[in-house]
Amino acid sequence: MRLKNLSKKAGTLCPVFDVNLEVADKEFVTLLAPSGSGKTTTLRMIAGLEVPDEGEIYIGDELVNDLTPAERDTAMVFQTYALYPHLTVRGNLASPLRARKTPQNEMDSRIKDVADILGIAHLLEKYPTQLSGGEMQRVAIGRAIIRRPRVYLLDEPLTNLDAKLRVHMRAELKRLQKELGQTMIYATHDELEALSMSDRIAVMRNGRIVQYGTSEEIFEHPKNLSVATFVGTPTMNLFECILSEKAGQAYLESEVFKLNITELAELIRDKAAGSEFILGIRPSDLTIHTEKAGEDLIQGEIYVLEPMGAALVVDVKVGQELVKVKVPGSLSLEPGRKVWLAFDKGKMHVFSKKTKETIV
Amino acid sequence: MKYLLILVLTAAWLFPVYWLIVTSLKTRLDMFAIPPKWFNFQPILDNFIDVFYEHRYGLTPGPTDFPRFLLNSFFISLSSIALVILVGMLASYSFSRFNVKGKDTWLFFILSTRMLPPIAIIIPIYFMYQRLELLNNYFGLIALYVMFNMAFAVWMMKGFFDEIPRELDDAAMVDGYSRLGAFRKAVLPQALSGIAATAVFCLIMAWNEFLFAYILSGFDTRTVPVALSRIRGESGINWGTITATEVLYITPVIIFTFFLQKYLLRGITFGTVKGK
Repeated sequence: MRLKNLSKKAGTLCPVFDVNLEVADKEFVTLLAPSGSGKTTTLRMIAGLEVPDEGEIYIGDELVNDLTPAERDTAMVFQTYALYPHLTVRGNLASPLRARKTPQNEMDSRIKDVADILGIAHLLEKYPTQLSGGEMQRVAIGRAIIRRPRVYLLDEPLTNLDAKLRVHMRAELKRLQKELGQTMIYATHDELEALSMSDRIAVMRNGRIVQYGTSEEIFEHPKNLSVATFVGTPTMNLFECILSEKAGQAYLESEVFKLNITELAELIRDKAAGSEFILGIRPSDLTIHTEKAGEDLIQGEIYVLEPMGAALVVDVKVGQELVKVKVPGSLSLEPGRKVWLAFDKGKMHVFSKKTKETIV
Repeated sequence: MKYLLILVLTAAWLFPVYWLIVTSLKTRLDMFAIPPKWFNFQPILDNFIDVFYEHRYGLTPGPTDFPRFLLNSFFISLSSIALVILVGMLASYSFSRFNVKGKDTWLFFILSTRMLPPIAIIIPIYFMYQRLELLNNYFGLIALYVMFNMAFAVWMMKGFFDEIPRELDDAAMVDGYSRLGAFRKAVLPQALSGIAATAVFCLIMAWNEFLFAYILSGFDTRTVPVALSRIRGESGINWGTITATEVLYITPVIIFTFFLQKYLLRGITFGTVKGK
């Protein structure tokens, strides 16, 4: 499946600009973006529910721009599920088959298969209003997978579920996609969903695709500041700093620390526009020391502890800023204590302050 | 207190109906008795027989034309609401779902057809109909009632369609239905109560319309309200036949409304009770 220079500006709340996306057969691709960034608009254009202003949509090798939604042979799961309230679960599942005039006996056997896969066989005669959120969501997925369309489009299908069910359905969906061996495009604003499920992730911002790559690429090598801060919980720590050189050594200097980065200096100098930078480091790439044990440590004071079960997020006050550090939950620390933070220099991200693009 | 108020209001509204019904069952003597006879009279069916059978002095005895007028009423009302609902339904669905160019202007234009009091246009309509040879013509009256009801029907049904999530249409189209198929399979079943409510209101209007029917119909197309106004008696107004005719005439609408009551209430309060 391929989108080429797809744009939709007029008549939508969330415009899309010049989207290019190539999705391999049987791939699970996530559109990751905050709400209002054009994920839904993109999916709706693929499904044929919205007409793009410009650009081409290919499914397989076929240009589908002029095809009706029915002819495009996609299936879509809507954020609100959009189950037909006047039909039972069975009727809802049967709808795509009825629309394509499937014989009754084949319809029955397919409904049975899908109901078994999703564990909703006991709900078949109920109406949507009698179902819980999780059950409705499964029916909505069932209505999509009852056919074998060329592409599955899922628009935030897990957003309306409670946290526990969401994690469960995440795994279920991923397993389902592998079992069905079908191309799936999944829109979400939840980076955990994106990172855990996708083969590739397209990060969108303001209607454009900012970065397209595997989970590792997105997480380890964000293309710019907005991707870096959008992906990862807690958010990446950022420090404004400048590059300074002294006696053949290069330093990144901020108000509160001075970091020797001689080995990266050349790289930074090559790509930099200006001498102001933003240094980013993920909370999990920092370590806490209770004693000053070496060079390049930042001194701070523990401000507050946020236990998260297996992990502990420590807010350390460095100068006027709070730095979040994620450590294993077993450390014994208390607020007010003086600590030193060490950077994992290999996991550091340096962004140009001017362009917000990644330098290292 | 609440019930007392309901009782007073109901009584005020139902008393004329009650009086109509008892009058239709009374002899002429009982009708005018003072003090009025509320219950203590011998009910008779003579008035109802008079509606169907002519036996007054000086006139040829035989069946009256009432059944014909009643059929006219049925035919004109039902055809006009069928048309209004069919056309109005598609129009309001389109207004609800599509970016029709100049949508607000069109909707206002449709509404504006209701802004003139009907009586203000009756003379031009009469001359138009005369030229078009639509006087004393079923189609003429049906077209007129369609026009009267269309604005109301479009606005009311658009409200109902607006309440139905668009994603249902979308889901149905992705399922493989055409736009019209999606409308039929996914939207229409949701909108039935609203459409039924609209139909009842339109029916009541068309069924009771007097002025245009009076001016534009002739004997062949005469509806019951017009026929009613022409009933004369041998000595004074023949209240017995009039009330009996009225009782017969309001019965179908009452039955119709009664059966649609469930939908009506749901339709009228749609959106207010449905929540989200």
